[in-house]
Formats: sequence, structure tokens, C-alpha cells
Amino acid sequence: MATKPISEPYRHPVNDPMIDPRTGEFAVIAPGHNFTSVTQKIANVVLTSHTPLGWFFGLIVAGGVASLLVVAITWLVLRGVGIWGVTIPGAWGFAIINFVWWIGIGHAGTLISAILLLFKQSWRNSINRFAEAMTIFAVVCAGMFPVLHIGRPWLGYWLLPLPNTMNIWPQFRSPLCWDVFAVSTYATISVVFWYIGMVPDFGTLRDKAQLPFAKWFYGILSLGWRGSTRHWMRYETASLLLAGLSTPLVLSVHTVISFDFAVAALPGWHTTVFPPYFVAGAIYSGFAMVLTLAIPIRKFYHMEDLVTLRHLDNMAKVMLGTGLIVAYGYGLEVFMAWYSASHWEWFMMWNRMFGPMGWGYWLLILFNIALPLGSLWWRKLRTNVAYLFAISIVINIGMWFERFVIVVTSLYRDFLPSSWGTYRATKWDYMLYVGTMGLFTTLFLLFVRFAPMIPMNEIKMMLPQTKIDGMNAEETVDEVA
Amino acid sequence: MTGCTKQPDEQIYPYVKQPEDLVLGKPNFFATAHPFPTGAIPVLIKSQEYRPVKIDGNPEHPMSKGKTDLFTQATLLDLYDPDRSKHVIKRTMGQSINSDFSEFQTALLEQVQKTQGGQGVVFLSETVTSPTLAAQWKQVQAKYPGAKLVQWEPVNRDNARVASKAAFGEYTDAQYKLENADVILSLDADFLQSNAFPGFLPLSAAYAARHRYETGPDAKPMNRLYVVESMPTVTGAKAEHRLGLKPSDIDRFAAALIAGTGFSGNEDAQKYFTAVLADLKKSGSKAVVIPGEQASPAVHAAAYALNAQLGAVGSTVIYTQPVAEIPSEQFADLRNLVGAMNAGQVKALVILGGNPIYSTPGDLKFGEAASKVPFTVHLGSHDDETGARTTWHINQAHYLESWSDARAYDGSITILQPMIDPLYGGKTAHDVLQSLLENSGMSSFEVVQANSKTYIKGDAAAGWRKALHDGWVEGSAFEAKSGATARAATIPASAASGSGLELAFKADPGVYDGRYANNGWLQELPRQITHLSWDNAALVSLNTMTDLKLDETEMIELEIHGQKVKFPPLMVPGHPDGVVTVHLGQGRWYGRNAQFVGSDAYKLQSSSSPYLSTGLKITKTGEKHDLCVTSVHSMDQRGKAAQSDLDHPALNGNESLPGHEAMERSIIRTAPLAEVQKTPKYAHEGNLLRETPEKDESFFPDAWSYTKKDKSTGEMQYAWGMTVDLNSCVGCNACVVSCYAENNIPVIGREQVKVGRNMQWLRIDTYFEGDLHAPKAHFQPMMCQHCENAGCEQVCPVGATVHTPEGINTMVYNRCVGTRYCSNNCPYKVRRFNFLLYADYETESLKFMRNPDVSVRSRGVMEKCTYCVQRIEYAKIEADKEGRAVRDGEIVTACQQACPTDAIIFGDINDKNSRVAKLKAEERSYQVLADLNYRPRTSYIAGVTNPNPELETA
Repeated sequence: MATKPISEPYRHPVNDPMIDPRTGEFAVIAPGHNFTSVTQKIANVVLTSHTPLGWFFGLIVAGGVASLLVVAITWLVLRGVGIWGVTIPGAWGFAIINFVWWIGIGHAGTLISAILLLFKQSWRNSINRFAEAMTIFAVVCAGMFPVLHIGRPWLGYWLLPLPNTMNIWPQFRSPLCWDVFAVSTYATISVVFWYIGMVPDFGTLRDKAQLPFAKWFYGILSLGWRGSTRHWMRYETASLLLAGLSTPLVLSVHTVISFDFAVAALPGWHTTVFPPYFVAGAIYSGFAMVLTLAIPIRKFYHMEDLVTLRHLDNMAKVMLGTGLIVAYGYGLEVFMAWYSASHWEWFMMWNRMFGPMGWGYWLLILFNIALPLGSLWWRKLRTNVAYLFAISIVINIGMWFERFVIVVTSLYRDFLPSSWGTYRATKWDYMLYVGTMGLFTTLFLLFVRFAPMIPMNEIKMMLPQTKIDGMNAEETVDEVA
Repeated sequence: MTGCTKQPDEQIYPYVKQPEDLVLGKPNFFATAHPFPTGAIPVLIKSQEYRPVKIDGNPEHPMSKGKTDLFTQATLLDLYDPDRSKHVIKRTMGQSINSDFSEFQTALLEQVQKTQGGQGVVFLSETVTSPTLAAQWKQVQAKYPGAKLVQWEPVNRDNARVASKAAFGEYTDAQYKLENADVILSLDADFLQSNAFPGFLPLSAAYAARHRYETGPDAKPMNRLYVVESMPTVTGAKAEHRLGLKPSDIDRFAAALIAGTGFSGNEDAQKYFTAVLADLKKSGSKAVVIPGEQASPAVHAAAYALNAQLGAVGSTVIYTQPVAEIPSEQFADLRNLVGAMNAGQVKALVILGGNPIYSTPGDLKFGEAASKVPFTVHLGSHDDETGARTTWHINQAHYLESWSDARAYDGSITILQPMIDPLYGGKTAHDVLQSLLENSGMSSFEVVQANSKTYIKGDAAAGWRKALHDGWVEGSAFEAKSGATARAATIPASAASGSGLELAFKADPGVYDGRYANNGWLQELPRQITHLSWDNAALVSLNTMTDLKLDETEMIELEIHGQKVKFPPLMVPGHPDGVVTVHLGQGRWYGRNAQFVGSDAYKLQSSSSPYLSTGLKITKTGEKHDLCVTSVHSMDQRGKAAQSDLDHPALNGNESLPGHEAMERSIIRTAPLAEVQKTPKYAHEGNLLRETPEKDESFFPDAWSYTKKDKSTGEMQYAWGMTVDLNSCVGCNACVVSCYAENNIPVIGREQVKVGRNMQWLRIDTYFEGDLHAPKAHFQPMMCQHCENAGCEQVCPVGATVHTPEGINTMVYNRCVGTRYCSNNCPYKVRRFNFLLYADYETESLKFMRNPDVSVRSRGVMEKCTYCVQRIEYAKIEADKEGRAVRDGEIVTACQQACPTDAIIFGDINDKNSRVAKLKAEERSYQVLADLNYRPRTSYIAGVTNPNPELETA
């Protein structure tokens, strides 16, 4: 589009412009960029009058899939959750699996935007924005499930502590009640953080826009941003504060969600290892989803010079680390089943591995542990874009199976053998799940088209021109960021 | 919040003249009886604003003592069945016209008068147990000597009739006195299942009373039950020693018993035979042999002879005149009738009840024969398979709508009084017969009242009133026939001799002979042994399954006598090899609940040997079928699971995993008598990991304390609790149906049951212990345990399930949003969820049936057993009015009320003298899954068996 795509780098530290000769690492940003080129490259995606046909095609497909959601929800509200495969004993099924899966995915965005910011991991800047967007859209998808999965969705607001004449409050001992607070806080902070982060970029878009409507639209969104030092100072402070607020959320949200299981007395759920292992799993799946999104987008919009192999490599490393924690969690579950000398635990583990639904467990081990953790040690594979894309999908599937194994294989054979049953999802389960994927993709496509998918201001901060020793570079700041 | 919901507008009309004895909201109770071919069941009807809403046993009648069986409970739904026929229908020239009864009477009279003295007029009735109907028939016969009465039911007592005639010279009924029996041998007699076996209520009560483990000076010794049967039944499951034999082997077994010679079978069977014979002889007059009603005449004859040999007659068995007023050999009569119809000798066929076009054996082709009769009448509750093919259909009144009378097991007569005006103006058999008599305008009330003078002694008016009030006519029970000794009867050879695979026909444990097939409660009821619901199957043994390589998901075709019917096969633990059992009563093609359910086994039946045929051929069809089995809720799991679970390292390759786990988890605790005497605390020995943690192990030792006293009265608060005696529970399912009626439980249909959404608040769990070829079976009624430390309450985000100060775990339906978290955290899985709108808000007739004290639950709401909280509150209000505490025994839950064996006891556990508190204090009392610290209020009394030491090791 705007700039010529950089050809496949020649991987030799001495000759390769993408490799920093001092560290041997891939560069976070390709050489040769200056403030103008960054602005142009990113803003042009939004402001261009030539929307790529591929985008329209994607939107039609995604929108079509999302319309399944409308069908699935309409029929669900008309008929009841009985259209799904939930039953007794498996009273929770796809809805809860998908809820946990989507919420987990969201975690990577918050980790990138908050924790990595506090840790001054500046490489995160180029993937930060769309990772955050991914968080929000994932939370949107996730948020639908708890409401839809209850028997009477129109009464879902009873879970909120609303003052009422009957003086009835939610039951605060229930983890589902904690969920409401955890998820709603998370959604709010994420949206605010995302939006605040975009304000300077909206200012840029407003200034660059040609169409009156775009000028007006981005003008409203930019909240009167003028790029004064005072604005920047407040912006930086707000970012730090929000990062500080978000950081505990990265840990707490999935911890609270793990309580939905850990607090129950059901073997397979009643485990103290759940909070850390859920958080690690969430980040694991989240980074996998960031990769799933980043790899095609950087290709499609030729952003390889801004989202470089360095990013992919780093994200793969995070996946390797969190994946190991997850593997430890699985190992510990098995160990505790034996070490606890509890028949309940031992039987649950036997049944999980070798019972009628044992295939689920082994798929999970294959997808979450064997394939990714066996391969991501190699830098060659970590920087192989096609492989990374494939493995990110494998991990997404694996993490879905993790929740499937936890929810279904614990429930369907519990304490009383007389009540053992099975679980089989119906077409409505699949329709709703696929529908949320459609919604997610639709929202994401709209986002990349109408908002700056990479933060221009933060990228610019990484340019050598902003560094002390970069002051001598040929171009200085000559525009409003 | 829920208070803000706008209630729909509805008109309330007060009475202009309120009936004197009616207080709105307070039920009235009336005595009547449920007429059943094996003997009527005396009942007491709960009537709300003159609508019958609950059927329970008549507590004062010795043949019920307040108890009922599942069929009797379920007849309430039959009354309100929306599919009942609502008109008299006349069919001519392929047209159906609504007509009326008087038009029919004219037509019938005309038709009969055309004949010469009734020549060619045949009445085909169900077994007549009504003295009045029998008297009316005699009058009809006197007037039209050529007319004939054929009594016929698909599941009848022909075999007993044949044998008793051979043995005693006349038809005779046996009444067993199990209260005197130390040793009971059942030869295919399923006397603990339902009224399908005559005298089920007194028999099961007496059996359970003698099967209690009692200590103390005047404790009676425990009885011992041997069961030799083919299809596993609840009776076999309760037996100390069960021997599974194919039906022809049972005949041989019986013959060998009289001969006293050995039994040629496998080693186990021989050992069993020797031990049984020795035990019977040892007990002498305190032993009894009970033959199954549908067992072959040879078995009956053997039982008569054996009981005589043992000296049991007069002690554990007495012989009386039959309960049937006009006893007959029904299949023989039916065959003659079909012959006459085919020969064109029958001019008019009047079917008084029953559904012969559906339920006659396939070889008779009754439907074809009936079409040759020019004038056919069907009196029936439904315009069903038979009604649709007759020239006249008369809508029959339900027994709760009619006047009649009937004999119970002991012969005592109950006068049936209507509880409600016939909903659709139905008529009774009395009305039809009366049409042919002099005063044809007499109502059935007048007929019954007039005839009652023949059996009411003393003042007729006072006797009538007393009989109606009490529910039976005093002094009408049969006397034992004196000197009824069995002659050495010539035993008719078993009809099914010969080799080859046998096919046995049994009444369905749920829908009986098909008459209840449209009854949703009974269709949906999981059968105790097979866990089938909304289905029937070709029931086979594990060996047959593997030998023939059958798959439970694949239909097979059964072929016998040239008739072919497809059935899905199902493995039944303990089923003998060499025989396939099918249950009658399914595969109907009429009725919203009956049609499209299961396969029609009648088509395979032969009228000459209706309950057993030989020479069965099985072919696999490759057609898929998803059986509706509630124990494992998916056939593709179960088919494989039956095999794949056998891979569990602890199972020796032939045990059921659920059964094994139930023992491993101490869910079922039981021990033989000798061990119980040695270690009275056996239910808790070796189970240290399965006991409730002590309260002081908790940080909050006072958390589960229910010992507050009322400040003003100083009375201790109530703490409701229940205990279930696993020794007494025979798994008859009566409690489950009673719960249906009491708590307005919806019927959800096959598709919903198949995926595991059963709504029964109370279920009978069956576990098979040991080798699946000959397992021990255990029953455990399971309902909400009302845990003091309930997991469900802690996880509900809206507080829709909460604890009352009296310890009841309550569901607040209108607060429930339906997260189902409570069910996940319930280890007993007793919570039931309205996944769809299960309650029927539309059907008018069902609205009358509902218990007004219990809400009807809507979609998206969790529900479960409430300990019949409406009954508790009723009793508390009554007690409050009298300024006293609720007395022990004043509150009876619906399941407890129905339980024929008194296995369920409810009461206040804070009252140390209450029955429930005393039982809970016993050493045998234990809680299921106690180690979870849920502290359930329901406890179980561990089982005790009384095995024969000689067979112990077997």
C-alpha cells in the first residue's frame, strides 16, 4: 500500500537490516522509518478511499457468520436452554466453555497493554492496540454467554446488586456473583484504557482526514486533543494509572473465573491450583489469539516492518513460558489425584483420561502441551510465520479443549454412579459458538478499518529520532504527533 | 423484584350457595377403590373443591393400610387424560358421527332383539370383579340365553386357573400369608413390583415387615427369599438368592422340587436346588412357594403340591374362591370367539373395556375377525385402536367418575363412588348391560345400590352409608376353603417344550399390558431393572449379547411363528441365556403418549402359549435406534460403555462400573445377618473415610446447630429429617408416581428423557454388584437430601435456594434465574431443571389435576424435592390452631404415604421420641456421601440380608 513491502529478510546478522548487529535480535521496527512514514503507513489504512476488496469480502463472510448468532439467540430466547446439549448431570456445557475461552483470550491484550507497559517492554507498542481491541471484542463475546446460558436471561440483572423495594441482594458467597463484578470491571477498564490510548491517534486522524465526515467523526473521538505538552503529560499519567489498575485485573479476572469451578465440591473442579493455572492458560491462549490475528493482518496490510519477527518471537516465548505453567498445572492435577489418596479425585482422573470422553483429554495434551511446547524452543520455528500461525490455532483449539475437559468430564461422572450421564452438544451450541467467532471477526475488521490498529504515537517513540543519540538524524519532529 | 411482575387478569367467581361440607382450600377425602383385574385396590381420594387431585390407599382397609402401587397412583392422570374419548361415536359407511347414548341403547336393543334369544351376541369384557356387573350379566343371560360373555385380558391368570382346576376341581385363588413365612420361594413370581401380581400390597408389606432386622426379645426372625426367575425383577433383586433360569428350565426346576430328585443344570443351579429344597423342608409350614401368575400351569401345580407337602396350607397360604366373579380360561374363550367370528356366527360383539384389536395375540388376527361382525360396540376410555374399528364407540367413564363395586385381594367388596361428574358424560359397563334389561333407564348408581342389598348384611341404608364411608363392606372377605388340598394333579406338559431360543412375554413394569401406555407418568417412569423409559426392548443376557454380537444401538428383528417385529436389544444384568424377554404394551398407534413408543410384542404372541414361545430367530437389521435408557443417558455411550468400562482395572472384566463404584464409595451398605450380629456397627466399619466429619473439626462447630428454643413457649424448634430403610425398599416405584401427583411434576417426553433431563424429584437408583451374569442388585430411593451444609445454597448467585430455620433446603422458584450451578454442586444430582417449558399450561383437563398447594414451575427454573413442604405447613397450621406442637406421624410425605413397605420415614429429628429420630440413632443408619460434609438430613438404614450359609460362598 503506502510503502513497499520489505522483502523476506536475509537472515544474517551482518547483512540483514532487520537484525540488530549489537544484540543479534530482530529489530522491533524496520530501519528507515521516520515520523512521516509511520503516520502515513498507519493512518492510510483508515483514511484511504480505496478500501481493499479483501476487507469487504472478509466483512461479508464474518457478518454472515455473525448472523448465525442472531438466529441462535432468537431461538434460544424463544425456546429455552433446552435446545442445547446441557442436561443433568452436565448442567454446564458449551456456554460456559466458550465464556471461559473468550475471557481467557482477552487476557493477552491486557497483559500487553498494562503489565508490559509497566515493565517498560517497549516492543509491545506495535501490537498493543490490536491486542487491546481483541480483548474488548473477546469480552463482548464472552459476556454474552453467562447471560444467555441462564434459564431466564431476561432476569439476568438480578445478579447485579440493584437497590429494590424487596431488599433482595445477590448472594455474595456465590462465585457467579463474583464473576459479575470481575468481568464487568474488566470490561470497563479495558474499554477506557483502549480508548484513552487511541485519543492522540484520533487527533492525528482528524488532522489527516480529507473527508468532512471523517474530520468530524475523528474530531469528536479525539476529544479536542491538541498534542500540547500538558496533554501528553496527562495522557502519560492516565496511561500509567490505568495500567496500574489493569495489572491486577490480568490476574484477578481469571482467578475469579477459576473460582466458579474451584469453589464447587466437584472432583476435577475442587482444586487450589486452578487460579494460577487458569491465569497462565488465559495468557497462553490470549497470545495465541494475538498471533492468529497479527499474522494475517500484518501480511494483508504489509505491516511486516512494524510488527516484525521480533514481536512474533517474543510472543512465542511468552506462550512457551505460560504453556509450561499450564503443563505444570496439568501435571499437578494428576499428581494431587494420586497424592490426595482421595477416591473421588483418583476416579475423576481415571475417567478423564480413560473414560468414554478420554479422547478430549488426550487432544488437550496433544494440542496444548505436546505440539507447542515441544517445538517453540527452536528459534527457527518461533520465527517461522506459517508455523507460528498454525501453532497459534492449535493452541486456541487446545485451550478450548482444556475448558471442555474441565467442565464436561468432571460433571458427567461425579459422585453417584446412578446419575452418570454424558454430554453431546447440539447444532444450536455450535451455532452460537461459531456465531460469536463471526461477531468477533466482524468487530475486528471494523476496528482495523476505522481505528488506528497500531498506535502511531507509541511507534514514533521507538524511532531513533526520539532518542538522545538520534537527535542528529535528518528529520526532527515537525508535525503534531 | 418478583413482586413487580404483573399477574394476569382472571375472574374469580365465588359460590352463590357454597356446599355445606366444602371449605375452599381444604381438601375432602372419599373412599372408593381402583378396580384392577387381580383385585381392587381400596383407595382414599383427596378432593379439592370436588376435583380428585391425589389417590392414596385407604388406611383403614386391611388390603391397603394406606398404601398404593404405581398403577393406582397413576390412574389419576388417566382421569384427566386429554386424549380420552369425549363422545358416543357411530361409524357407518366410513363416516364417524357423534351420537348419544340413548340412540346407542335403541340400536343395541334392536340388534339383540333381532337374534333368537341372543344367539350370536357376544360380550367381550375385561375380568369381572364387580359383583353387580356379574349380577347384571346373569340377568342378561336369563333374558337372552343365547348371549355369551367372554372375559379376556392380555395378561391374565389362565395358567393358575388351569392348574387350580386340575388340583382342586374348581377355580381357586391362593392368598399368601407372608407374615408367617420364614422361607419364601418364588418361582417367577414378581410379587414385589405392582398389583400385576395379586395382593401386591399386603404381600410386600408382610414381606418387608418380616425382612426387618430386629433385635430384642420379641424380635421375629428375618425371612429368607429365594427367587427363581427368568427376566430379572425387583423381587429377584431383593432375593437373598436368585437363580436366573430360562422359563422352560423353571418348569423343570419346579418338577424336580416335587419329585425331590436333583436338578440337572449347571453346578451353581444344582447347588442352589439342593439348598432351597433343604431349606424349604427345614422350615416346613413356615415356608411357602409362590408361583408366578403367568408361569406355566406346571409351575402352579408344583407349587400347590409343594405347599401341601410342606404343610404350608393354612399357615402361609390359604385357598379361597377367586376374586374374579365369573372365573374363566380367557385365552381359550378368546380363541373360540375368534373362531366363531370368522365363521360368521357372531352377529353382535360388545366390547366392554379393553383394547383387543391391539392387544390380542398376533396369530389370532382379531381385527380381521372383528371386521366380519356386522355390529360391533366398543366401550372404552379412548377411541383407540379398537374404538376406531367398531361401529359404535361409547366413551367409558373413569372409575373415579362411576358407581360400581369390586372385590379386593381378600375378596372384600368396595363400593366405588364417583368423585366427580363424568367429565365427558362417560358410561359404564353397568349402563351398557342395563340397556338390555327391563328397567333400562336405571342409572348405575341405582343398579349398584339395588345389588348391594345382596352383600350388605343388616340395615341396607345404614350399611350402604357405612360401606361408602369406610370404603368396604364389612364381612365380605372370603373365608379360606376348608380342606382344600391339592390332588396330585396331572401336570399339563409345558407348551413351550422343544429346543431353540425362547421368547418370553411379560407385562411391562410401567405400562402393564398397554392400558397405561398413554399415561405420561408411567411411560416416563424408568423401569427399575432396565432403566428403560418411553421404550421397550428385546431383553437379553450379556452372553447372548456377545455371542450374537448384538449392539444396543442397532435394531434386531425377532421372528417367531412367521411373525416379525423389530426391537432394539438391551443387555439386562442377570438375565438367563437362551431366552429373550419382551415387554407387552408398547408399540401402540393411538394416543399422544402411547404412539410411536417401542415395538408391539403382541404381534409375536401366540394364543396357544401366550407367555412363552420357542424357536425364536434373531436377525440383525443394521438399523440404528437410540434407546431411551436413563441410567446412562446416551446409547452410543452405553453400548460401548458396557464394554469399555469393563476395562477399568478393578472390574475383573465382568462387573458394572457404576455398581462397583457404588460399593467402593459406600453408597450402598449391606451385610449378611451373621456379620451384622457380630459387628452391629457394620455400616460404619472399614468406612472411616466415608463418615461425616465431626463438628469440632470445623472452624465453626456451631454452624449446623438446630437446637434453638422458641422464646415464648420454650419449645424446641423443628428439624425435619427423613430416613429410608434399604432393607424394606423393594424398588416398586410407587413413591415416584405418588411424587408426580403430589408435586405437579411435568412429563417431558422421550426426546428429553433420552438426553437425561428427567424431572422426577425422587428416583430409584439401581446398582448391580458383582458379576453381570448373576449380579446382586440394590435399590436406593434418592431425592433431595436437604443437606444442612448444602453446596447448592452457597453457589446460587441470587439466593434462590435457601435454608429454612427448620433445616429444609427450599427452592424459591420465582427468584431462580436458572444458572444450574446448584445442580453442578449437588453430589446427589437430585435437582431437576426446566430446560424448556415442560409444564403444560394449555391443556384444560390437566389444570383440574394439579395440586393447588404446589406451584407449577415454568421454564428456566430449578426444582427438586421439598420434603412435601406443603404438607408440613398444613400440619403446622393445624397444630398452631390447637396450640400444640406437631405430633410425630402427623406429617406424611407423598412418597412415604405411598410406600407399600413403610421404607420411608419422615419426622422431627429434634423430637428424640419420633420414629425418624430413633431410626437415625440406630447403628445401621448412615448417610450417603457423608465424607463430603454436606450433612444430609436424609439418611439410609443399611441393608441386612439373611443368606443361606450353604450358598454363602456361591
